[in-house]
Amino acid sequence: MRANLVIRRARASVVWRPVFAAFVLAVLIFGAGVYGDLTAGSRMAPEVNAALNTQRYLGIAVVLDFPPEDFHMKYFQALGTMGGVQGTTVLMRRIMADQVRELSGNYWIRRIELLPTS
Amino acid sequence: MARLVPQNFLPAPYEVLVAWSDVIKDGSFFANVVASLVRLGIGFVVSTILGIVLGVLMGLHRGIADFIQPLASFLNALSGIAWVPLAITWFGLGPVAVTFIIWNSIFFLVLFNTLVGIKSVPLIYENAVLTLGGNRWHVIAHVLIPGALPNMFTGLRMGMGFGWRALIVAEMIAASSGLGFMIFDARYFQRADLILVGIVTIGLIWLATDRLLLVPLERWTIERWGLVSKLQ
Repeated sequence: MRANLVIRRARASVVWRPVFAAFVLAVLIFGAGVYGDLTAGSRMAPEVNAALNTQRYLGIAVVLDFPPEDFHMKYFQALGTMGGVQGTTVLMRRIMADQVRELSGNYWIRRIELLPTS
Repeated sequence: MARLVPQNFLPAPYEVLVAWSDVIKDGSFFANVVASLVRLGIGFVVSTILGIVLGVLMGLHRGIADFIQPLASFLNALSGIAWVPLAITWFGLGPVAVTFIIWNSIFFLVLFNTLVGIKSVPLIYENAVLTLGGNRWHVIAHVLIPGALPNMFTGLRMGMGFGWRALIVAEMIAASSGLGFMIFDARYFQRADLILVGIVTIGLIWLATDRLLLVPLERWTIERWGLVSKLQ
């Protein structure tokens, strides 16, 4: 009786463990991206949202909670022209609207604001 | 409390946790984990498919085995790291070089384990299927491959471990992202805390993959197709 219970529990663990492992891997790989996409709207200032529908290129200020490091600089440079860094804010010029949407999907960005057009 | 050793030599566990929290907050941690896992996944899938197909072919045809086995044995003896300079020369710095190095570490383990698995299936089972009217395909699909599965899974499990090690080395030299790169890059700034974050993460991911995915699949395979009839 007890032996059967042990075997049943062992068999059940053989089934749930790979499922759990797949879940953990999926969270590790997609979790940050999914969370970022779901909360993307909250990171964009209302004027950025409005400008996305009317302008093809935007000048934006990306506000972070920390000074940008190598990883962030490479990421921003791959997206468009960087106009400089002021403390924890990265200025970006002529960024395409789609790329602004992509930027807003990063959970580590606190806020995206519109730069005044010069 | 006075420190016994400087922080950049061996940080306290609390400092490692703070560094971990920082890299999670700034987004670089998950980007590096994803880069490593994707590379490992691609390398693993490519190596597994090629290793199993070639291993089965070698197990079925003596001529192919005689031709490939000496060469494969020679290449298997070489460490994956030894291929790094050549991989960079051939493919440049980037994902192809990293995938090649991972492939090199996994492929031969899968190949030889598959070969051993195919060869270890008793001839009496093949003859039984043929006697009952089965053809060659029935023997391969219902006897040889299922019979070799426990060995294949052992090869996959070992290959995953070796592939993970090769990945970290390859990322240190031939990539600009991933956990290996994160560890190697941290040395420029004497960030022992970040190096430990990378090492602990690698260990935890490997442990989780092995214990939660590979071991249960291996046990299930042995129970289903191997020599035991019930899980003990």
